[in-house]
Amino acid sequence: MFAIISIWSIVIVLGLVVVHWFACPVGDKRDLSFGGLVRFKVHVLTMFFLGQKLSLVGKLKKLVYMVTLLCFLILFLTGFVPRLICGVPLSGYTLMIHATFAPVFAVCAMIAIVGYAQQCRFTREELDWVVRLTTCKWKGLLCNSALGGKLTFWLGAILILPVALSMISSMYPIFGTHGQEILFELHRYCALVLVLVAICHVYLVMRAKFKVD
Amino acid sequence: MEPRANILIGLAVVVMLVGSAKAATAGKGIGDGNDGNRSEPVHVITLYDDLGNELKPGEEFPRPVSMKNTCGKCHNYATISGGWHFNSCRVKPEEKDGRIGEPWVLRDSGTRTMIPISNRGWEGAFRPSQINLSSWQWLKLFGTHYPGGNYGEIQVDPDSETADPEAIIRQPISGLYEINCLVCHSADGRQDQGSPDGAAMQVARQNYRWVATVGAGLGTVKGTASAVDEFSMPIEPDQAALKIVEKIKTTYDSGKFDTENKVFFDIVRQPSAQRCYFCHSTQTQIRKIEQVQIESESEKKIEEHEVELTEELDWVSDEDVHLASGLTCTDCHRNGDDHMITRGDIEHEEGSMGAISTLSCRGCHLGDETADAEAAQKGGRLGAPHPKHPGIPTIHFEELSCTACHSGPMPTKEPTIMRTARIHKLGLHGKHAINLPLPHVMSPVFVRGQDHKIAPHKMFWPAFWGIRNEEEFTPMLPEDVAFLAEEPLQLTIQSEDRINDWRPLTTEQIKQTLLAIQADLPQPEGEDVAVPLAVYVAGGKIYQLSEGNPATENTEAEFELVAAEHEAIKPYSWPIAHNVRPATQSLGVGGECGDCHSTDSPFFFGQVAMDTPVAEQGEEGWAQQTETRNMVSFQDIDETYIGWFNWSFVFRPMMKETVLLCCAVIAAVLLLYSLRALRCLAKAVSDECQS
Ligand code: HEM
Repeated sequence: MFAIISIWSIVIVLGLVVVHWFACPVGDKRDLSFGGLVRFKVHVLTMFFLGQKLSLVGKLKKLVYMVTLLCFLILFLTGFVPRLICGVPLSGYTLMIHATFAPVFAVCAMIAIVGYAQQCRFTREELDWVVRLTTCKWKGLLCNSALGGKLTFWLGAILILPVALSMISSMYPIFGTHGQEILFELHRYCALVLVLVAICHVYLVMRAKFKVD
Repeated sequence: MEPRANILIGLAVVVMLVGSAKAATAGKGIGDGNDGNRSEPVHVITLYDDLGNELKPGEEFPRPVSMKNTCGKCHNYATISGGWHFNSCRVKPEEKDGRIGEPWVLRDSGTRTMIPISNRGWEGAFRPSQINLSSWQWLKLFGTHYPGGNYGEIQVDPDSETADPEAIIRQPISGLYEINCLVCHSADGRQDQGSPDGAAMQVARQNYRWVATVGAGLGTVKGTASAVDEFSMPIEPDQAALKIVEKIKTTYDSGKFDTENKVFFDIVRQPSAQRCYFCHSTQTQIRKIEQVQIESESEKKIEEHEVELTEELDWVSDEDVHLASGLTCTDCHRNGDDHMITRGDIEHEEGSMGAISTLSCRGCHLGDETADAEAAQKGGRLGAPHPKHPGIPTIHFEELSCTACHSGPMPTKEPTIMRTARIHKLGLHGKHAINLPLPHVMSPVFVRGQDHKIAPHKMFWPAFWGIRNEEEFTPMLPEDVAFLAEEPLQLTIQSEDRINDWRPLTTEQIKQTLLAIQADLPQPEGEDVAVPLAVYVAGGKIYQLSEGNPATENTEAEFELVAAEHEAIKPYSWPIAHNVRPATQSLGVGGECGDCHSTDSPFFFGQVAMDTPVAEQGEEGWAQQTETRNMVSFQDIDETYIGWFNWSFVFRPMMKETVLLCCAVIAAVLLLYSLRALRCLAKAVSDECQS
């Protein structure tokens, strides 16, 4: 069941991202030529570099952000791949990798959240967006806003708590067998939502970056 | 009495007779089944002898009591003899073998032999027929700890080519060893299995016919069947059976018989644990360790040496928690008329609305979700507490049996050495008491069992001389080995030398014995047929001669002894469930992951000695060639992986604290910004109001 829900939800979210990318292009026109695609890929790659314009703190923040994403990717692969692709529960060396990267992820995520919280706080612009939404002024509403990036940032920050605490609390002699089962389910379903949120977040952040560049 | 009352009584009698006839036709004796009354039926009964005649204790040569004829009057003996205790001799491929259990062990210290035997097709055990062990020989070896029936009732056929000649001559004298119902069902403290005046001594004398009479204390028996000269007996078996009571004389205790020659047996449906214990006891051996200070130029260190094994003091050791809390063996190990006693959690018994399926650890304590009856679903039978297992990840319930954490002696770096009643013949008192240290049964050894769960097992390493046919190993009977290799095995010499309880066996002795056996092996006909090889198996290794055949071409000096491990040579192990320790002594209790997940935990890294008699004599005495194996090697788990995995637990506390701290900071940030957002919202609302 979990495998089916996971596969479908990830496919749907990725599909929505693609649709959104084409429906709301960042530039004026979409360059689908070979050269255009290569340029696009190089552009995406450069986003992961520590820009020279960044201050030391900025560089550190970006570095931590990148490591967080990397850890998250590893946790995603080790957490989901055994169940989704091989149909087996997380165990053996994969479990060890998962549990090893979990605290690294937690530390990096904490630093990233502290570092970017101020930047991601909601401002008047987001209030305007809500006002536009409620007053039916919808033109370009879904294309030009930083709200998505911020919203997914905070959602992610919230979701990390049940994801991490569910597993950590199960390691203390507090919850019995039934509690353990619930915590395990909580962990993986929250992790799934976190994955979906993270996909959206990364997409929206990259979009915003494209726009700036 | 009024005529109407007479008619009614008459009708009632007819109904009862029809009822009992019906029960009998349904395969039940009139004493079988249950009429709903929970009180124990009183057994003041007439006794019958083995010829089916009513027993008259006052006769000059009274015959011994026959349980088959006495109890069989009201109970269906045939049905009972199909039960677990009595059915192993006739296990056919289509009948169920049941899960692996304690074997019988054919032991012989002279030939250094320890062969696990069972007719149930259990992996690692040999069927009696595989080693040419007749039912007669079987009884002689194992009859002391035995409820009768089974091999005891196999009537030898003198016309059969495979019949044991000794049995043909001796069985008419000794008689059959019928099921002795009183071994389990007698509540009389006089029921005597182990003393010199008890049942076991009759077995030792081959007085099989008399076992039940003496065991129940109905009388005394003078005479020894094994010492009766067969030439003094009639040739016809029937005549011999009639005459023998004159040579082996039974004198009944007249005080036990009432005026109608009836006897009161204190019979219970549910035998007490005392009755089970005679065959199902275990004894822990304690290792006495001596610390030796070793000083060399470079270092000073203290080494520990095991000096001897001694029995644990019985008065300081505790009972199984279930018994301590008032239960008895038969509360869980129950049976119907068929005597197929439930064996615990592994075989899931299909039962009426879950009443049988819940007779297991899991069923009693947690209930059986698949049962029809609500009570069985809920569990808690007989007041079994519902365990919460706080902090135990659920994977443990898939990988481990309940017994892994709860049963047996606490795991130690080296498993404890145990003795069991049946293997080591515990419980024989007085002049026929014996002290058998071998085989060294180790426990608990954590092994992945037939149900693919890891469970504590008892284990020992078989040792035997045998014949190897390609990848198949067949043990030889010790007497056959002794016959061929008396000299190399030094069987005529009374040696006091012992190494770890074994008579030491040198590689040279092995070589010479193998040469003697090999020379006696028949030569295969045809070129493509593999040559059978003489082998010795001990400590998980096979010893055999290098290529060639002494019976034909090579000379003795050309052979070398080759020792190697082999897939088919494994230790024999069987799961244990008792004693169940108190919950506070379970593994992992209180979140102690380190009980198992530490770099040197006995659960994974306990050292299992590959016990062997093979030793060499050096200047400082005998040195045993014992190797050890990590316990994890019996668990189908990659040793490197579990090493790393357990090592990661060193950092577990740090990992938990780090993640908790991070979560606290993230939560603080979330709280801070949500408060700020609230402040903005409040400000915006009040600004709006003011304007
Ligand atoms: C601090 C963070 C984390 C810790 C301590 C942690 C720890 C664990 C542990 C110990 C398990 C195995 C549970 C068991 O089998 O009983 C597990 C399972 C799982 N984890 Fe995590 N994890 C963390 C973060 C994540 C994240 C961020 C994701 C997703 C990207 C994730 C996805 C999963 C999934 C899907 C499973 C279930 C695998 C299955 O179905 O067998 N975890 N986690």
